[in-house]
Amino acid sequence: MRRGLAGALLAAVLWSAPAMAAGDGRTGPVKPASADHPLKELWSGYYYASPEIRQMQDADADNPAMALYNKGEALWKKVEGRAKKSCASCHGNATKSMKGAATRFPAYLPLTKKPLAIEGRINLCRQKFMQARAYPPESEAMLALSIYVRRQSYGQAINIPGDGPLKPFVEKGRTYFTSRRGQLDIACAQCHDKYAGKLYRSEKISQGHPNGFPAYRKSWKKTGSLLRQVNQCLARMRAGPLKPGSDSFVNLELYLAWRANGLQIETPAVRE
Amino acid sequence: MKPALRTICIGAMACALAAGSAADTRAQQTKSVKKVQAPRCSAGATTRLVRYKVERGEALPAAIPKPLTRKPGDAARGLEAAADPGKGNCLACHSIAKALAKADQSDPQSVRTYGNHGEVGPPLNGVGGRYTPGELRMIVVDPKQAFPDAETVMPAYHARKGVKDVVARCRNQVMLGAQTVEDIVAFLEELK
Ligand code: HEC
Ligand code: HEC
Repeated sequence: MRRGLAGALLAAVLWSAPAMAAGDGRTGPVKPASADHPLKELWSGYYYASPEIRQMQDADADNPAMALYNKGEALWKKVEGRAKKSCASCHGNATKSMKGAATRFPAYLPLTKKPLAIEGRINLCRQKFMQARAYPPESEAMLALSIYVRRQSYGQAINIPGDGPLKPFVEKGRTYFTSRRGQLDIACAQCHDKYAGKLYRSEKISQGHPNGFPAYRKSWKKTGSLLRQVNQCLARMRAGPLKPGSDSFVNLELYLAWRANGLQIETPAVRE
Repeated sequence: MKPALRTICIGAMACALAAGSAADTRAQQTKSVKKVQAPRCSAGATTRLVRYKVERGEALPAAIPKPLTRKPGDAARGLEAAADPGKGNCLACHSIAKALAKADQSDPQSVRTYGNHGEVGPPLNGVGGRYTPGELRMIVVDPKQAFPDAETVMPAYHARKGVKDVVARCRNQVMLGAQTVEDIVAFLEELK
């Protein structure tokens, strides 16, 4: 496998990973940084996963989503569009330039005065600077490149500023998360703040953190984005789905990221 | 019958919240093409909402002493509806020994239906001894009225007041029809 410098660095990070026990900062618990946080301790979805699932995530060779990582690495360098550029033309080596990016996204974009998620950033760069067409949501290319970019922050703690220009958007996301909706008339927070650790049918409810996405879910037999996961939860509540890149979804993603501040990026995770 | 409350748009941000709109349009298009009845939300769902009278309960603040239908509930059907993921799906949150005992371990479909349960609500074994039939009916119809803690996560199976952002295929429907509610209540009464 040709992974070059990225692979070498990645292997170095992963090498220290296997024997992760509770309390190592990756699974949790992490103390929330602010007083207005709904949880007393933060635990990654990894913590709630079975040993079999954890092992699939820990060993690159067993993690089905890692194939997309390799595709993403190729896409990073692929020249496309009328400007005849690749991501690498502007950003160089992703292991340096993208390091830490996922810990800061969704980020505030002064141009639109709104937060923008990594998927939105990728398409913005493609359209504006490469003059290439936007990747469709949930397409293989979008999953691959967003995994590749997010993976450069592997092991780094999420760090979304809860104040400043993002604050009103975090609050909008919080309102969405805590409002009852759908035919079941329940809120995300009811399951993920209150009943985390309990079984829902045969699934262990986690705290619902975004730090592992895009992730491979065994029940999907596929790698999917955070949007896909959220829309599955909404379908369970018999609530309407969120649209890719919509303000409501990006605000929700921002709130989830803020709520996960301190947890480490583990993209691409494996879940049940 | 009142339509379910829809998401109200206040500015562009809130409008985007009415996320079901694309699915809505699609559902409407399908309807006009196929000319069939509005798609049902799930096996037990219906648009028919029966009126009922709420009185004070003994252990709980509210109860519905009078059955919703003339035909008495059928406990065996009630068990099926309670287990069925497309109907009551009570096992998603509750353990019910009588239902779990029906799982045929050699049949994955049977295990999926009867053989696993959640831990979000309390086990329902013995619930027929703890509550009157009227209280059990109130719990299934609209638990927010039944429990002193109105913040309950348990869904209302035969009420739809104030629900918002309901997926298009379920809009204006209740989760279970009156007869299915009676079947489930009959089943719960037998859990002594
Ligand atoms: C009825 C309970 C329930 C509700 C309500 C619910 N979820 Fe979930 N959620 C689950 C279950 C069960 C899973 C799968 C197990 C797990 O990973 O937590 C899950 C998984 C997730 C995950 C993946 C976590 C991980 O590490 O794999 C996220 C993120 C999430 N939910 C967000 C949400 C959001 C946002 C909402 C509201 C729009 C929501 N959930 C509503 C039950 C629920
Ligand atoms: C999404 C979760 C959920 C589902 C689905 C659910 N319940 Fe519940 N139920 C609860 C919770 C939580 C409680 C505890 C009351 C509270 O919230 O304070 C409860 C309480 C009850 C009680 C009172 C138990 C006691 O000992 O006090 C009964 C009876 C009951 N549920 C019956 C049912 C039936 C029958 C169904 C299906 C038709 C069902 N529930 C579906 C969550 C659920």
